[in-house]
Formats: sequence, C-alpha cells, structure tokens
Amino acid sequence: MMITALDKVIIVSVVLLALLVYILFGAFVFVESAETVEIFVDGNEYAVYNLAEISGTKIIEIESANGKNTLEITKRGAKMTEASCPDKIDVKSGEITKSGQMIVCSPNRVIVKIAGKKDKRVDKVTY
Amino acid sequence: MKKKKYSAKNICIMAVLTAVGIVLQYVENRILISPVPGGKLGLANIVTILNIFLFGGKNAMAISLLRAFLGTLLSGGVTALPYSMAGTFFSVLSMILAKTHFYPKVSVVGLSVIGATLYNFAQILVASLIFYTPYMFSYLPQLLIVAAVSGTVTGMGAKVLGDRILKDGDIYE
Repeated sequence: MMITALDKVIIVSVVLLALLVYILFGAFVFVESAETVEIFVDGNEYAVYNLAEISGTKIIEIESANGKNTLEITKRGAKMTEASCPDKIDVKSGEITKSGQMIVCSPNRVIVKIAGKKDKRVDKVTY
Repeated sequence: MKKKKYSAKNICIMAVLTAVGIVLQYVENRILISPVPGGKLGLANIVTILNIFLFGGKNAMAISLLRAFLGTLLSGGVTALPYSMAGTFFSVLSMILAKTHFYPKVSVVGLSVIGATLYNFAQILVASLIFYTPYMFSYLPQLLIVAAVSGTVTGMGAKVLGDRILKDGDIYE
C-alpha cells in the first residue's frame, strides 16, 4: 500500500490545523466590520480611506519605486484591478471586504488592508 | 557491494537531477495557475525526495537550494527568492528529519506532505517578516490545504518514480 496509517494521520492533521487557523482568524481577527482601507508601500503607510465616505467607485493609482498598482475602492471593500508586477497575484486575489483581510503585491511591496472598528478604538485611546 | 558516493557517475546524476528540478519548477510555473496566492504543486519536490533517498540529506539539501535559487530566478524573479529559499530550506530539513526518525512508518507520501506544509509555513513566516504584519498568517489555512493536496500528489509521484529507480540499486549508495 502506498499510504501508511501514519501518513493519513499527517494529512488529516494538516487539514485540521488549516481549519483551526481558519476558525481562529474568523473568531478573533475578522470579527469587526470593515471601516477603512489602508494602503502600505514598503511597510510605510501610503494612504487611508474611510469606507463610509466612499460613494460609487474610487480608483487609486499606487505608484511606488517598484512599480504601479491600480486599486478600486467601493463602499463594500477594495480590489486590485491592475498591477505592473509579473505574477498578478494581487489582481487574482479578488475583492476584500472584511476587517483584517488584505491584498498583497509582493514584487511591488504593496499591501492593501481592511481595518475594522477595533483598530479605530485603539487610535482614540492613544490620541 | 557499496559504491562510492562521489563517483563521477553520481556527480553527473546529481547535476542532471538539479537540471530536472529546475525544468519541473519552470514548467509548473508556466502551466499551472495557482488558486491561492503563493500556493503551488511543487513538482520539483519529487526530485528532492529522490535525492534524499539516493544521496542522503546533505547532498539533497545542497541540490535543492541550488535548484530553488536557479529555478526561481528563471520563473519568479528576484523578489520571490527569499520565499523560495526559506521555504525550500525548511521543507528539505523537515523531510530529512522525518525520514531519519519515522521512515518507513511514514512513507514517501507522508514525507512529501510534511515538506509541503513546512514550505508554505516558512513562506508565510518570511512574508510576515518582510511586510512586518502578522495578518499574513490569514493565508495559512488555504496554503495548508494546498500543501495537503499537493504534498500527497507529489509524494505519490516520488513513490512511483523511486520504486523504479531504486529497485535496480544501480546508483544507490
């Protein structure tokens, strides 16, 4: 037989670990509703947009030393529509709508992140 | 009869296997579109597993790192290098350790799943260090599922191939 008993245990535990991480993220990280879209380039904050203030579709060109990305923001969330990088993983990852979710463009070192209420509360305290 | 590990023939075979790994990595990158960011089938892992059995851990590690370096420059570009190198290092290391401690209780398929899992884990770790955000780990569930599936598939491939190559004992240490 090709697969031993211990192999099955390994495969099942990897899948269970995936489920566990998914549930943990759902329970503790993605709970807050989406509030802002944050754009980071090279680890530094590039721009922040409040979702509540967006009407219709807002198109943002993110220009960095590494390349160019086009981001589309609606009331619901954000999605990358164009990228200068070769793999286009950020475009393929589609729309993000929940707090904590993000789009990553590794070659251009661009991150687009949705932040929720909790982050804002922290800001108010420190402010 | 025990044959010499670093005979001219074995060095040739190592070089050929490195080349085969590079081609597998390149072809896979061109043909398959990943459903998940950073996910991949990892066909080159078949070669890595064969190398562990044929030439032992140290040689397999050297061949795999060289293969990952050249293959990534060919297909992914320089920005993909840290992910690929770290992933390959931890993947091969985990497979070597699992092989010395648990083989044959864990078969080639199990080794491959372990390797694929560690590859993706290291990839996310590197990404979260580069981008400096723990949110990167939200990709972990999808990548673990990819690892379970792709690890099983490539492991079976390695098993089928290994059975044929190792049977005649021609190049086995």
